[in-house]
Amino acid sequence: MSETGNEVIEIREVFKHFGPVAAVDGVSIGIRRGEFFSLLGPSGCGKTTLLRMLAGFEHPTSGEILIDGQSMTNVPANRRPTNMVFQSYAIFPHLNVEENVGYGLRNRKLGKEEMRAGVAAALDLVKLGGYGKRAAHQLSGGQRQRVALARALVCRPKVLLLDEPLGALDKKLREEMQVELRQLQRNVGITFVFVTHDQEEALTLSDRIAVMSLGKVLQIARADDLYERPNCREVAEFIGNMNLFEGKVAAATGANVTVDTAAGQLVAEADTQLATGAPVYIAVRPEKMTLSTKRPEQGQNALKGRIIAETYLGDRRQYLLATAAQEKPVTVSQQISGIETKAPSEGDVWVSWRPELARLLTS
Amino acid sequence: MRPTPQRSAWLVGYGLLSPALALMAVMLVAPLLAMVVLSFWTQQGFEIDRSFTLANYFALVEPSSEPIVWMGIPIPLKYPVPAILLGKSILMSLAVTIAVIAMAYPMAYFLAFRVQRNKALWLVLLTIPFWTSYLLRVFAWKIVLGFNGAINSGLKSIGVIAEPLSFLLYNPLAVIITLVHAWIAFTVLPIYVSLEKIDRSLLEAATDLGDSKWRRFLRVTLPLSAPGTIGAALLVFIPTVGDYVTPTLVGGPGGTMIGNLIQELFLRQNNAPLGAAVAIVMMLVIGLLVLIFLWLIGFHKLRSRVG
Amino acid sequence: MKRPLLFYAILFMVFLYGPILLAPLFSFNDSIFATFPLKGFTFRHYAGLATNTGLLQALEASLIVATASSIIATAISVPAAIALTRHKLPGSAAIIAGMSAPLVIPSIIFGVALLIILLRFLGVELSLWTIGASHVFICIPFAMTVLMSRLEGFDKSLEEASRDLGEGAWMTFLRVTLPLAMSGIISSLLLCFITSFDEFVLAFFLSGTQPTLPVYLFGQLRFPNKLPGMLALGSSILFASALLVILAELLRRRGVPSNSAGET
Repeated sequence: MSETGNEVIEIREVFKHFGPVAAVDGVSIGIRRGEFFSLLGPSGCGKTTLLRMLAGFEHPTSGEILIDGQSMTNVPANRRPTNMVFQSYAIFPHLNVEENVGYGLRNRKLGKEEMRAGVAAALDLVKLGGYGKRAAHQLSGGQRQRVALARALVCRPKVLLLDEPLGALDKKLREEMQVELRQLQRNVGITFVFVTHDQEEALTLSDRIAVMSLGKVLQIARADDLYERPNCREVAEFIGNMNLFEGKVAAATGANVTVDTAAGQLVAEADTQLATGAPVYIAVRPEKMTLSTKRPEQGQNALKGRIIAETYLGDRRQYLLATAAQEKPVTVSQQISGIETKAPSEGDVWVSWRPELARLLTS
Repeated sequence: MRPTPQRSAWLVGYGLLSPALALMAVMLVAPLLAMVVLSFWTQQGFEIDRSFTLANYFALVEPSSEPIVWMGIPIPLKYPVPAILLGKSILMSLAVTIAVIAMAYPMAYFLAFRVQRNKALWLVLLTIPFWTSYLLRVFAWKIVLGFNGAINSGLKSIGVIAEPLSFLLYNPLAVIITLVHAWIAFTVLPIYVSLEKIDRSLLEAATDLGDSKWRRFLRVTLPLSAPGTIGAALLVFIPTVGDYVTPTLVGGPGGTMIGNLIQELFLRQNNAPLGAAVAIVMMLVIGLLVLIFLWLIGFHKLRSRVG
Repeated sequence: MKRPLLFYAILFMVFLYGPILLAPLFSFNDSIFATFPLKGFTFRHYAGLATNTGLLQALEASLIVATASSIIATAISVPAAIALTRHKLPGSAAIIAGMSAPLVIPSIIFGVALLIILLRFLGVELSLWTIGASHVFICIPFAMTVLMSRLEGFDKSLEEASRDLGEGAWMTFLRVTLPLAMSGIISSLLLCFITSFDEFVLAFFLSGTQPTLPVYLFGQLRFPNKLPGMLALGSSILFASALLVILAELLRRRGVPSNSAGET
């Protein structure tokens, strides 16, 4: 996977302990030059601690971080080729917009004109041209976010670190900023490391995503791979909706694996060789499933159930099915295109899916 | 080896603290130690006898066969003045503390829950007296209560009394009133802070669950503001026991307190070792009383509950 | 009474301010007694102050002591407050408790203890220096309270942002911490100044030949014929203190706009 030499950040076996708690628990990640990389996970998973270690505000208990091939172990925060957009934006309240953006340039031994030009260019880049004289307290949330971006980008960092920068914005503004942020990253070509707990945001923005939980990295993959091919239950359940059926391998013939579950025998495709009797989960996305009133033809996985709830979501309708197989209801999502044929709310229905649309998870 | 960042951060932190810590050592620890040492020496005329002895402490508790009766209580001591004054000072401080809290709490409650606009103005108005000269605030009461003071001359000029009332000034009550006035502004603020911190949704929850206003106050507001209030009470009680200015100015012979005795022993009677012993015993007794009080009410549990 | 608490609050304020305001009231009264009924309005008690050399010397002493001790106390407290708010130090709770000692321990204890160590152990002569040193000490809790609340009041990530943008510890202090804490520093200076200027007990115990203003005032209170002059002096001190407190409070409350989105 990793193309050595092309990685701007190497995180090697990094641990961070706060007292007895391991906030970051043996993380190794390679982040490629120019990519939009996200650290995704629920709060407390260690993603912010990891980001702060990249910035130099926290120090690994053990392990090493390299930026551009150089160890950062003894490099203080102010000497690192990284800049950060803080969650609170950290706009200096005693300085105006221009002074905020120019803050980091003071150490560059630039001429006055050069500095002014740099600041103006950075403000244009974030579409705040002409706002230079505004006082910090006159800015809206979105504007503060832009100032924070400009202030970091004007220093031309090798890596831009973003700590949930869109978290404080309302939904509509957040979606606009997502598009802009993505375009900005393409334009400047700087590596972005983006921390978020919002899976949709990570999927929308990132080239690659590292899903974290309890201090560990579960999976590093592109957005579509993460969704289509999660490598474990936790990732599968954290990203989108997933139906899981627990079972044991009954037989494996070629790519097709037959699994004994409480719902009977189900078939799924596997990438790896699995021993008979191995405990596995069959994972199926709700939109890969079909509902029908009659038993579907052979060669499909099928379960009988009753609809216990349905939710209308505009472009699709989501059903919850109670089955005899397991306590947790099965979620089925049906796209509404053209005239909708609704599933009957009374009586038995069949839910079915093709074996190649399911994933086999071993953990 | 990599330098441990944690340790070097501590080093910087203690470095920044070092001037303050040095000041504490020089101005707090060293003088108190010196006082302890001195209390084990004795005054012989104009000389100090530097041999270690507990004589000063013994003098404070030396029994006597002919008890002196003070306020109906026989005190079986040879030198009963320190014990009597300490007891009296503690009782007076207790009265002051209770009065201050009883008066300051409603005021703090008013500020925290009733004042919507101009809150800053109220707060500044309460703060100003605290910062103005303690000496002047105490002296003001001499003008109010004096034989030719504001109350007497005021009442006389409107014909309520013919002769000035002499019982107003120079007694324990005058000391208590003056101390209450001197400390009350200082007390409103900490109580106000502890009331202000209370999450308003807790009060709404109590009402929602059926409490009347009064029950809600007793079951939610009062317990949550208790630590701040108790802290404020201690901030009044401890320093007032040793107050010196107030009894000197408005106490008269009947209103003297332990602070006057300490000053007397040091500056007039020239018996500094005995004065040091009295000061130390006073601090120990106050400290012990405070600890017993905190233990009795289970302060730690109270505070951890409030969080 | 519809709003009993408001009524109580007003009574409370009358109790608080009534006695204090009597001194200014009688200081303008054309009589040498502080008694009702008032006789007539006069400035003559104030005029007498300007020619009183003892008083002027005491005033000078007080100004020197208050200026020096407020500056020193604040200078010591700024790094200490930074250490206690920015570095998670073991033992910081005990250190904070120790620094609040002057608030709790009766000042007569300090006065006596300092008197012992200075005279009996070190053989130092009492002077304005000894008063000043004790005043630095009692100012520390006030300076620390004001400065720590100011430093806690602004987002720690502002200092991190400065580090992130390339500034070291010292420049971060100069460019971010100091300007943001400035209102707190000034209000600490003012409050320490007032504390020292008004302090009586320690100055009384530790003064040598040169008294400070409160000590001078205390000495004069024994003479009934000096009363009107002292009322005028007291009123002036009250007025000056009140002015400084209001200034300090305004600064402390205003401060710098916080690091959060504005209304626009």
